[in-house]
Amino acid sequence: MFFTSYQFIFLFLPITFVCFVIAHRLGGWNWAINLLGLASLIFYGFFGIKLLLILMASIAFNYMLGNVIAVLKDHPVIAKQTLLFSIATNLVMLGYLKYSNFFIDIANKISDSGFTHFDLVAPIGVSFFTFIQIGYLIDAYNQQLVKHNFSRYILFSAFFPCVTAGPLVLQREIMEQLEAPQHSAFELRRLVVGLTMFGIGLFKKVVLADSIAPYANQVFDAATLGHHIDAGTSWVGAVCYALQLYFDFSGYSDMAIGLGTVFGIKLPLNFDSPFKSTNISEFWRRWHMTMTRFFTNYIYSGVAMNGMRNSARWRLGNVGRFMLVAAMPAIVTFLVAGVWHGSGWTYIIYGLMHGCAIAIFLAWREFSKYKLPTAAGWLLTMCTVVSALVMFRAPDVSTATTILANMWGFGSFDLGTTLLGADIGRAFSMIILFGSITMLLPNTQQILHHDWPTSDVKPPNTEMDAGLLTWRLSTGSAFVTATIYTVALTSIGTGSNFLYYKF
Amino acid sequence: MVNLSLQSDAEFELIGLRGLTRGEAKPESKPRSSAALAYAILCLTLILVGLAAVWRGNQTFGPEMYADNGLLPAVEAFEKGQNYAVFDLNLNIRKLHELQVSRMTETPDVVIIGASHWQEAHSDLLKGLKLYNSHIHRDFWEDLLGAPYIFAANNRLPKRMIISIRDNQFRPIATRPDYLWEPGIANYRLMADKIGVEKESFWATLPYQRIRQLFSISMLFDNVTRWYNADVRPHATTDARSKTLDTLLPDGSILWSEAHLAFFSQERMKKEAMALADLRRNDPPQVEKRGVEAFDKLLDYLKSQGVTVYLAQPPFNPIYYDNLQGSAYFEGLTKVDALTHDIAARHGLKMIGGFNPHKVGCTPDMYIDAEHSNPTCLKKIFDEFSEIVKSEGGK
Repeated sequence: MFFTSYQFIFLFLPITFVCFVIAHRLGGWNWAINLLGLASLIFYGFFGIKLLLILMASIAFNYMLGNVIAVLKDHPVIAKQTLLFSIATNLVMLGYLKYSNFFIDIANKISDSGFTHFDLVAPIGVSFFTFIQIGYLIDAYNQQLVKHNFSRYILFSAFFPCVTAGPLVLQREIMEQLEAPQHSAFELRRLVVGLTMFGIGLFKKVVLADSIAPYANQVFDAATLGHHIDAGTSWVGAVCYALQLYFDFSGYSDMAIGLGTVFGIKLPLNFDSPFKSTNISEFWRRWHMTMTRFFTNYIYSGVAMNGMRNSARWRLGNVGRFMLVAAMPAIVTFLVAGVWHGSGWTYIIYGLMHGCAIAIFLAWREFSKYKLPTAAGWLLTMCTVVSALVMFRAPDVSTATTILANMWGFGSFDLGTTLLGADIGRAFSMIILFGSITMLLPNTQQILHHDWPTSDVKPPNTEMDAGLLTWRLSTGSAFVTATIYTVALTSIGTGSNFLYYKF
Repeated sequence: MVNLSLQSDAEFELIGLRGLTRGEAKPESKPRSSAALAYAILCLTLILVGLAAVWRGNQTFGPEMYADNGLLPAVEAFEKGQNYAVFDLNLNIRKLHELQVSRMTETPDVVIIGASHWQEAHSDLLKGLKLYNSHIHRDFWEDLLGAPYIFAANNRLPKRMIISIRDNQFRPIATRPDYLWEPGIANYRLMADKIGVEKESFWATLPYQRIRQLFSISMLFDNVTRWYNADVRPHATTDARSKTLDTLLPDGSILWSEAHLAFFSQERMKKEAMALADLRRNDPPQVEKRGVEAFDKLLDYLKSQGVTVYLAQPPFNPIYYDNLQGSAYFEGLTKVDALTHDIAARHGLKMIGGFNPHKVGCTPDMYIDAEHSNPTCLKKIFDEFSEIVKSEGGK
């Protein structure tokens, strides 16, 4: 069951909300939390009972180990060993479900043997719920756990708005909200704001992302089948995919945050107009923000601190220190982020491309006095992002390199767009229109800034002004919201899954 | 103890990944909840109006597919002995039969229940017997119950019924690639009750895709565009063949428009047949056991009502058929073929036609596309049927 299905919108969501309110009336906030936890498991169960069992086993294991680690505060060595064991177990489970067939492919290639693939189906959102819980284990080790119990833990790790594709929440930002005693289950304004955000996300997904997707698919499918792809077509396909992914994932994130708001649980922001970024570092502050936060917290910091210690010990110069403290941690962090997305060389190369881009940017900022003009910075950033996304989207490295070679003049120099034929005008118009939306219009949180629906601290109003598009309880906003909903609900297609569901 | 979790802005600044947050804003005054209620009511009303407009628009501009009585003008034309021209065959053909049978003044001698393979089986293919072609698009096993129900409910069960079994007749709901079977579900449920068959669950047979189409704004756009761009709109006619519109005939069969016939060139047919074979090579027909059991009960019921049933298999396009030899699909098809023969044997039914076009005597030039044969091929099956009827002493 997907957020974009009629079953979810007209059955699961209203039924869950009504039960949530009734549970709260009957038994208070704790009952409401229990109900939400149960609803979340039922929601996940729609993807398959086996997958639900894997999720539940993961929840039980991590909750138990997290509590053991927290109790062992006076035995730091055992606590650390328990932490390492529990993280390793999570990673082995994730590796088995997601990467074992990839390693079999590598083994077959190296040894020319014929090992057969495991018949595995990775649970939807396995990377998300595994890493959310690894964060919990580390917080337990650092004695940073907020008071909780098992039912709250279930809700934290399996909350249906974010269990399938994030945001990657931290235990404290959810547990602190669950701990708040003043919580009420039904606030009309909160409900309205949450559903408005959900509607904006639904619109982004089913109207924008799904309508540009066929052009990206056509180009990538043709390249996969070995058809000739000229330079113009390659660029159109790559840019269409970048826009598709943005509207798909930011649409999903809006829906997730909106759903959280409906139930009085604020989730962190995931997107902040990333295509307005003028450098690659800024891009990652704005794109999939909770993933960046997670990897910065738990990987970059550790590698950077290690680098700091070693550079001091080895008395390295500026360049050596920079390499150990900034460049290497960035490359390692994004390499892990790439692998986290999926099995395959394309994800590894995608991560490396971004790690290297960040390292180059940091080196430029550290050692060069010349500052790029804003427009040039934006263009360079977008070229990097779009090129890396070709690697991200392509089914294999060979397809990606074909498209990239054509884009950058190493393949066909033909600027024609023969593959798309008569559709090229439409694809081009969509790029202009959708690109303008990302560049010129305020983002969802800016539109809804009066009711700031996320767990992030709200920036000053001067940075959030959406002008005429600011959402208010007004007739105008009602018309706009109703139009968005009507168009979105009447545009829901078949089999329109979120791209990030495969991660 | 090493702190593995660092979150300060200074640390994020290491790679420039400073947090989004840059300051606190003053809390803003919130309007009263009555304003929120008014807003919610207004929003909900507007959304409902919007959805209703799309729904109504689709019914208005695509009545043959979406309006309950959208095919009534066609049935009225048939009653006057006229034909009815439509944009194309994307119409609710199950409803058309339901309307037509409910207003029949005479019971046909022979009824064909089958898929679109039979759409060009005109009544003149069967001499001396009144034929009604109750073919439907994309039929599945529920239609095997739903289509006869229309005749049973209107006391129009014929003496002889040809029931066609296609490759994917018994395919389970969850694996079906289309939704055209959904409008026939109500009649299937009624027949299931009538003959004591356990029904598919309500949720499994909810006409989800049909509802989605009714509320589809892109479908509305297509319907409106077609409506306003058309030189001629659907209408009753005495012409047999139209230039641009396909024609529905009173006997339940269809005639392609001149434009469509020109479009279905032999070269195109060959390409389509090859492409379809490639598409289905690894997608073998599946058999839902419950579907077979339900069909068994239906056959018992029809026998009890005095209906003689003949099982038919529509012959495949030879190009398609030959290209699938040895594939997983062909293996599945062989099982369906064996199953059909088994059903016929168990119920003592005679069989006509066959999946194998070479056996029936249909050649590629007798096909208009990858799947659909023209009357020349169909005539061979009806000749076979006529011989059987003759041998049974029928007229």
